[in-house]
Amino acid sequence: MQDSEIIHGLLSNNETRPSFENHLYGQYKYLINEGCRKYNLSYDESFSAYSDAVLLAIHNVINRSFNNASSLKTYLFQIFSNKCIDLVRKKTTNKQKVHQSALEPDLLSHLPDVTKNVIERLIDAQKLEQVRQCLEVIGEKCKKVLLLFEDGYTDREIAKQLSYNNAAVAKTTRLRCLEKIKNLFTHHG
Amino acid sequence: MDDALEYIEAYFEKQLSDIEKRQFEERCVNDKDFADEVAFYITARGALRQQLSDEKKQQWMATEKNKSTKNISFGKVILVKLMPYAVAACLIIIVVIFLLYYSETPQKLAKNYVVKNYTELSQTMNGADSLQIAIEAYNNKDYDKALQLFENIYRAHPDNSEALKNAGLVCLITKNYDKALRTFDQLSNMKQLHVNPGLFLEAVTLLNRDMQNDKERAKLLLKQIVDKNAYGSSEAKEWLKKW
Repeated sequence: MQDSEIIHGLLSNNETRPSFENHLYGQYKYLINEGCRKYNLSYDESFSAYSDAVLLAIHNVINRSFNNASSLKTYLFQIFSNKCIDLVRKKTTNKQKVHQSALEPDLLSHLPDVTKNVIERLIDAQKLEQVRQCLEVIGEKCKKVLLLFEDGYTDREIAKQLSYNNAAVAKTTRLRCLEKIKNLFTHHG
Repeated sequence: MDDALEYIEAYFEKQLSDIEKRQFEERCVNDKDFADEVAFYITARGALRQQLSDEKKQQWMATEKNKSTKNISFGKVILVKLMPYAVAACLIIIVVIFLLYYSETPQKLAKNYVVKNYTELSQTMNGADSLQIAIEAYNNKDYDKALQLFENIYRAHPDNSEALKNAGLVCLITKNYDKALRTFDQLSNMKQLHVNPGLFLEAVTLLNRDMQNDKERAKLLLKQIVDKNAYGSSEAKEWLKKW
């Protein structure tokens, strides 16, 4: 499948998108074995690096950070190589990546430095894990609507997939579910 | 519903004006409770991102495992179901080869030899001379014309063993065995030939004719050929094993 086809499919923002995600995954999954060979990683390690690279590439295509300066293959390969190198560094030096955060950098990077420093101090891996535990108890419907939003679907598309009346209802449901997590988190945190 | 979450989401979804954005950012710095709200929002989004990532990775890993399991299972099924057929097929092939090899009589071998070697005669690049014209007629299965031409050439040039041999081959292939035998006998008596196919072609003709005593006569000739290591000795050795 051509890059343009995959990108168009990922940006389609409808129920066909997962098939394009799977296709992107499958198209270059030979890199997993290359990762094993080139970086002396186990299959699981290389698979993890490759999957993370694919997910990041998909995320950047959807939020239009990918600007077609290179082919998808080159782009994916660069991300994958960096992740493999990080894994190797972690194994050999037993140190984490210098700038690794418990979270993907996306939302923090939206903030200016001064604001970012303030917020960053309030975030840690333990809180993230607590929120993840809350996800398990908020109910499948809430979990689904929140995950669809995180996956880049608009409220309109979420309404269509989950049979809500309209986008406004989907948004309201989503924010209420987020509030539910917040209440659980605050109560137990 | 918590308006703060909606407001925070609007910031990160780039739905605020520049002024509103600056106000948001300043509030993060100056309002501890609001900063906590923002931190929670980012943490929650991070947790959702991780959950999503884990689910997709599990799905892809399951696909990988499923494919390799299917390949193994499919292979096993093939092996188990088809093995008896494969064994039977091998046995049949072995039996057929055995029967073919050991049921090949010298006569069959001789007939096959004629078909394989003398259905067509080789032409040289010089297609203009009379020998080549005769060969062309042979290859076109115009055997009457070919025989006439070969005999004319031999009459004109009695030392032309090729013309004599080919005349004999026309007779052999048209099953005029008696004349073929006479021709090949004549050929075998051409002493000046360094390599003389006459004896061997006589033996081939006898085996093709296969009348009374022909097989024994052919056997004698083939033994002579083997003893002298003459033309056709390798075929003669093989055919003698079939007696």
